[in-house]
Amino acid sequence: MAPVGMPHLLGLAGVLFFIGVLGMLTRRNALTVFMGLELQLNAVNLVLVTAARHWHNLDGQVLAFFVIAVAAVEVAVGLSILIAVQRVRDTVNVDDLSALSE
Amino acid sequence: MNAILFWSCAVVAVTAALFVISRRSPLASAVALAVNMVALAALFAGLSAPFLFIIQLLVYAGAVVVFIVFVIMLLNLGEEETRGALVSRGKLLASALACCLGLALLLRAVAAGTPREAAGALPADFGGIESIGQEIFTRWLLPFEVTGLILLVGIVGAVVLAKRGE
Repeated sequence: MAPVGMPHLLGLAGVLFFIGVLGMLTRRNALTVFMGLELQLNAVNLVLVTAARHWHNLDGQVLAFFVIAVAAVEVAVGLSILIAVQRVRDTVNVDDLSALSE
Repeated sequence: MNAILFWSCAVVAVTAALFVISRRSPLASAVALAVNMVALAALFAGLSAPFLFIIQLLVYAGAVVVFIVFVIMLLNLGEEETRGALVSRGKLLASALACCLGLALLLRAVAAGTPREAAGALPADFGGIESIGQEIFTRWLLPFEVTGLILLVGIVGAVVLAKRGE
């Protein structure tokens, strides 16, 4: 097998990122949209860790650590908002939650 | 990086990601998301990032997925998308086209050549708890403290938002 280097890892991260984008754009359940977002964050983390390994520099890994921490907060706040929305509107279908765009 | 580790993790991660966005039931998506996170954690381990490997398993595959599953149960979303088409065909086509274009641009840039790898051997304990801690508590101290503040704000915000109003 051919040796695996930076291009392979960046390519994999790109594929995962755009799968996440596709999920975010097409799905209507707000929770699945959230999971698409998580896929994107993970893909970016993979790029950061790859760069850290490539340049023998730990900054990339530290940044990935911060991304994970902030993503955890984002999930907590975002899902709380979903619970509140479900309580008021009785749906988390993003196509039905268009009050701000009308 | 070990080719067998990379390709097996890549296949698992991409398959799981496709499952996440294609399953009707949010619960199935959440399980696939956990599989995707574990595959990425294995990649981190292969990229000399043992600390991030543990953190990815603990925070993402553990806490975040459990939280998402918890909310799915709480909202009782099992039957949410069982009626009608999953996505409209036009929307799917347009989004897929946009994603393919973006991916093609990215792959083109990657194929044009990547910078050369740093010379010399990897430092000892690269990505271990000791070296990461050294970085976080010296050069990255301020961002670290700000992250703590964000976590606090997040906790308070989540409680306030999810609390049942009068």
